[in-house]
Amino acid sequence: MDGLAWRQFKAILRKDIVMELRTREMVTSMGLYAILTMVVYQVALSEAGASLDVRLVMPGLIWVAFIFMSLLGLNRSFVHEKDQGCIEALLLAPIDRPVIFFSKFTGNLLFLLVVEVLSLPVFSFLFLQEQQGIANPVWMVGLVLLGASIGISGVGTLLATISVNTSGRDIMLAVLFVPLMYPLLRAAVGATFAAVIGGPASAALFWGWMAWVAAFDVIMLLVAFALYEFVIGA
Amino acid sequence: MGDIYREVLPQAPYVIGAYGLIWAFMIGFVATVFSRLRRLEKEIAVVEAAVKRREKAEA
Amino acid sequence: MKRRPIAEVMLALGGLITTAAFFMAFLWAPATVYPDGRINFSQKIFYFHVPVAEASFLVFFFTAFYGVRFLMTKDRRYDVMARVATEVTLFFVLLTMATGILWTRVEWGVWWQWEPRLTTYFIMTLLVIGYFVLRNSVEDDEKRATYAAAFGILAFIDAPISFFITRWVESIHPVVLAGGESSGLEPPMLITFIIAQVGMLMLGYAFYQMRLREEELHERLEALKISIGG
Repeated sequence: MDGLAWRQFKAILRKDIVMELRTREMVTSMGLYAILTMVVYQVALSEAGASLDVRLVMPGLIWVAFIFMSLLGLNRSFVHEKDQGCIEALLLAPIDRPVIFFSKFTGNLLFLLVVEVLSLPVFSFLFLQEQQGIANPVWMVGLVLLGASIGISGVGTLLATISVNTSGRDIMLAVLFVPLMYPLLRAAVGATFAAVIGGPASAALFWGWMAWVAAFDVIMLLVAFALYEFVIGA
Repeated sequence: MGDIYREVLPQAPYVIGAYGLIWAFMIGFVATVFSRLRRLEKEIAVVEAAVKRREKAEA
Repeated sequence: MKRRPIAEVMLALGGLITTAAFFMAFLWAPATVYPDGRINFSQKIFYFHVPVAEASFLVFFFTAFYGVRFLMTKDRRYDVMARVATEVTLFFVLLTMATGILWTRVEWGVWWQWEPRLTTYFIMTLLVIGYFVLRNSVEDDEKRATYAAAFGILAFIDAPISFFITRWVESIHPVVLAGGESSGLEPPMLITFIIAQVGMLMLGYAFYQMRLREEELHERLEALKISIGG
């Protein structure tokens, strides 16, 4: 990447970060959404009894929260651009389309990771106090978060660009996004489970699932990247 | 022979259902598309005739 | 207009061949038996279920293929082709689901099981439906075509996953054509299956061409109506 593209990339990314730092709109709404989801989980698990080992369902629960949370954030990140005419300005500027994709992708990834990292301790504070903690080193959970968030942001950036131009915006994003994310979600839950529960075979299991996550990321990012130019120009 | 009936009969409704569904769907699909095609062809013939008549009138 | 005879020949041939396969499946191919010696009658569903499923994967490929062609050329015809291909995909997907569910009920005792093949195929069904939901919510023609092409390409990625998943991970869904020892079909069964498969692909092609012709006629009619002033 030459110097110009890099500077453009930084400029768009900085614009998104500065706007977020001023309004704190995305992180607050996504974080609140995550906490609300946890309240709903409390209701959902309220009749399950004390014998329930929350760690068994925790990997699934956190990914449910994260996938819907990311839907919210992805939508937000483009509704602004669309409603205030920023997209047109970006397209008029002599910026390569791939640069737009990567800067939006990086911004979305950044916000998503921030909220995920903030909400995980809250989750374990609320649900895992009487349980054993995470069996394997915490960095393993961090690795799943990073790997899955890359895939979520990559495909999400493309689909949010599409859905912001449709009549059903948020619901359209969910309809397109959730099924496409299924393989990644499944692998992320598997890897998180292996990291949380531990045991002798858990390392092999963990890396097996992480290989799926990596494969999904590579394929989906390449395809999303290749398609972005057409989608944003339409 | 009695064995066959005892073994096959409980499963028969599902097998018949599966093949029945496939045949019904296929025949239904072909029939509706053909009827729509025929209607479209008729309409096109009518409109084309109108176009010709108009061209003749103009000439 | 030229391709009409081919479509009709394919329709007739496909109909004949699948009908032949249908009779072969019940009259010629030997019945399989359970380990305890009981006859496995539900296995007969296989002869149509699998060809229909394979056809759905194959036709779905053309959604992605014509999607790529559209993005490269911006030619509206490719958008129509991709849409018609997805319609035929939906048709086959629903048939696969219906026959599969009936077989599952007999063989596994439940109507539905969250099993890798069924799950990924269900996801594929949702993606195909999502494709049409997306199309319906975009006003502008070119945007609709572009978005649909992009989504069709992304969605198709699930098809190979669904196809190969039973070979990658542990699954209770049978893998008949894997070439393993336990999965070998006896020659009459294999021949019946192949004939059904060939017939089903011919039918798929014919359905696609018929729907495409309908779209073409529709467009011609609209153009004619405009030419005579509404």
